[in-house]
Amino acid sequence: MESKEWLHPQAIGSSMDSLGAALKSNIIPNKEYLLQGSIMDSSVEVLLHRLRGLCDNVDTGAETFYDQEMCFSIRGSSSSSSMPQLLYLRVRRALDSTMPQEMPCQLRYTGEPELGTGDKARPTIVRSSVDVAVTPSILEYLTELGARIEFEYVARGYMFRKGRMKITVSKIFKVSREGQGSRPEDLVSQSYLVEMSVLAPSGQDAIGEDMKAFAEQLKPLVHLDKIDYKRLPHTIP
Amino acid sequence: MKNTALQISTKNGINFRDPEEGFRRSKSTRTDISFRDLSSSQQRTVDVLHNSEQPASVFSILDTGSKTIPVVADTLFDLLVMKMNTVLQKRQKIESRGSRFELCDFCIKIGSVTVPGAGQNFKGVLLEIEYRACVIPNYCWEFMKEFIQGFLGTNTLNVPPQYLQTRMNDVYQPIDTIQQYLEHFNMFRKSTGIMSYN
Repeated sequence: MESKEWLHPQAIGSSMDSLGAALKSNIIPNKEYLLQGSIMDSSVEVLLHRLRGLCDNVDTGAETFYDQEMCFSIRGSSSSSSMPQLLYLRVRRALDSTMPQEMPCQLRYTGEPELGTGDKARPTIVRSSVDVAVTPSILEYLTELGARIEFEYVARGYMFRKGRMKITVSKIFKVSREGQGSRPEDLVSQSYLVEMSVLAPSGQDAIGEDMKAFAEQLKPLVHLDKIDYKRLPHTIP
Repeated sequence: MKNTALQISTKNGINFRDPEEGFRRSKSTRTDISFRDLSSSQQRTVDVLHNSEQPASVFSILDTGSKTIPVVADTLFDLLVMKMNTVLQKRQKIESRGSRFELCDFCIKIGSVTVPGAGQNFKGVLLEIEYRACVIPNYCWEFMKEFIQGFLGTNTLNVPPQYLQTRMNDVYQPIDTIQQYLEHFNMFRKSTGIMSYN
């Protein structure tokens, strides 16, 4: 074939090149800074009132959400050890839209909380996190890939923003086949889960201090803290 | 996305004329793909595709042997795939890279297909013709056929491509372009001889 100039235009960079460049310049928000706590149902109104006053969305009020989250695990093979590695992926979708089956989902990878030098001094849990918006076919995609549903739940509650911080106050329900987790008998506990999180590029540890300062303002209603699940006593329902 | 596109591939190089008056060359184009296999089961293939036409999206197609499941995602899906390196193993990459021309509502993309790596293994030429004013293939097929035959000859592509035949009355989406690219990339990977148009 003749070599024509228009068949060999200037190179257009590949998307993997730009991802590599973004990783190198550290602009991808791939770390999650997290604090968690809980509050009894009887006191949640006081907390919501306080958050309404403290957070950015004062005039519009709290944003509500009603989501289903499914946690999938995929078994991978690791060359270094004989134990197969489990990779956890979470798919979250909104149930409060008119067509929940057709709305885009959120696919999320969260790593183990980072341990290492200086972790004790850190005010928040820091873990790697990758959030991707995906089409709803992701559920079938993951199932066919060999992923197994580990657990699923429905979360219904309020979301507040304060700068880069996101504060959610949510009620956790078991997933019931017909009621989609809004019936009182599907309640998991008599309390609300309170989470404060920020997604930021790695190395921005200063945000942890801001979060801690904000968490102080919610005391004594709720104690937001680093929760280490491995140290919690396991109770089997 | 208002378009209907189809691809034609050729192994022995169509003798394209220089862009005629009226063709506007806008930018270079690129579609690439990387194949990944599940490390545990060789039956399933995961393809991750990018198209310069939709730079903020990543397309992934899982082929289980009996069916294909497409997913469209944000660009960070690439990062997730990198995290899944214990589950998926990268096998091969193939890309179509070339020029993009516009003529009224038509968009013509001519790409040379290569397998990057040692020696830039050239596989052939892929031609994509997109009619961007219509979303239902059935409504514009005859018009597209006339356009294609106008510069590729009348014995080219008399019936719609196999992929579109069952979807002629559906709304055309970017993933349909990607699925057609994947079909052709798979043929390029396997083939050694001349490829047919239909």
